Amino acid sequence: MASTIALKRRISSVKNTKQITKAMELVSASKMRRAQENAKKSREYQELAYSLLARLSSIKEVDEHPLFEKRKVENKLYVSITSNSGLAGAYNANSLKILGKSILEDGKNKIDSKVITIGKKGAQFVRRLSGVELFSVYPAFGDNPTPNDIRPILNTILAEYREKKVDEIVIIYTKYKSNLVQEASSLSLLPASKDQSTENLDYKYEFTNFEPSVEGVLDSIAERLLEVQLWQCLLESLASEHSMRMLAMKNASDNANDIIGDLTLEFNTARQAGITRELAEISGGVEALKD
Amino acid sequence: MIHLKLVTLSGVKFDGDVHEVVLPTMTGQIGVLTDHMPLISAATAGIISIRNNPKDTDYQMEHFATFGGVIEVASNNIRVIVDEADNSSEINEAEAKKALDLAIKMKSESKDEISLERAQKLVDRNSIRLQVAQLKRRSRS
Repeated sequence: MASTIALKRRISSVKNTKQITKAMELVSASKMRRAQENAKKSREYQELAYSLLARLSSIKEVDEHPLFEKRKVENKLYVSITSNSGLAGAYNANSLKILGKSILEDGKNKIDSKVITIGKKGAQFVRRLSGVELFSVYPAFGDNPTPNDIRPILNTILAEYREKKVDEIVIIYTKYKSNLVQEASSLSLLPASKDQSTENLDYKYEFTNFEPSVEGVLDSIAERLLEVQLWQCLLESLASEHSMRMLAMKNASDNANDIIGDLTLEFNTARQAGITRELAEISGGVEALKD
Repeated sequence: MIHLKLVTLSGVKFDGDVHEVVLPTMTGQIGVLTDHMPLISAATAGIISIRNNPKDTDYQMEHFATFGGVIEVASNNIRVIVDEADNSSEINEAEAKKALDLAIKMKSESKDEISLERAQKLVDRNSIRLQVAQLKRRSRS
């Protein structure tokens, strides 16, 4: 049986850990609430914008626009959204697993892949991979990202696409479904694919009027719609990160409680055993003196 | 009746059947009624006005201040996807006036092109907000 002093030390060390995880849980909970609200507000906008992009890309005249041109995919660009810090459960691991899998598949199909990472964890992961170019690294944007933060990323990827250096752009992020369910998923930003759009309006685009012209409409809206896609992915990921971190920290605090309970029990047993032994020794001594 | 859905970055602002919608587009204001032809157009800064019933007067129309986005009309569905749309009840007239004055002052003080452009945008935005707020007052009196 361990000595009572050693047990006491272990108990107090676990208590300290519990305080930290508890504090992190509370911080994440309040951050999560805000992130969740932000993500929910603009979700409908993003979904409609995406389905519009997808439907636009199926029109003939649109093919000539540099952002909607369809070509054989030889170079792929991934935008991976992860966090700067760990301790968020499987948040980073899940989305990086998808990234790793897609890159592996691209290698088999002879597609060159590049990666832009947002968040340190993603950069660390991609650096270790072979046969993939780490195109640029951005730190995670903190809790209140502004549209200005993502501007440089968007400009880079659109320029790459326009100059035909990449033929497909995929965002890998974590979709926020509820407090308990978050799903790492991928969204192809350019070209927008039809199968992911949430709704289908069946009408013929042959009769659709573009005002002032197809190019005019696309020039004025396309970049904005794409910006919103990236923006929403960022918000969803942020909400997922915070709720996963909260859950992970809650589990850690619960575990700490269990360990404290076990150790306290062991400590009490050890203490009682010590008392019993001392009593036995004393009464043994008294017996010996009687003779 | 035609179905209108007004979606902004801060949520869905309007979702329902209406009689007529007046929308600001790049080529001017357009009114959209039932069975309008399919249309995709870029929206500019301006006022979106909604007439809920055919017999409503202009004073009973609902107004939203908006600053650009996309308009999609198809099979009696109008989708307006804009960054912001503020209902007249959401805008405080005094505040909008103050913001406009500030923006005009900024514009007169701006020296380079970038800040001038930014100030001009603010002036446009706030003058529309003010217009919408004033429309509300007129409809009440």
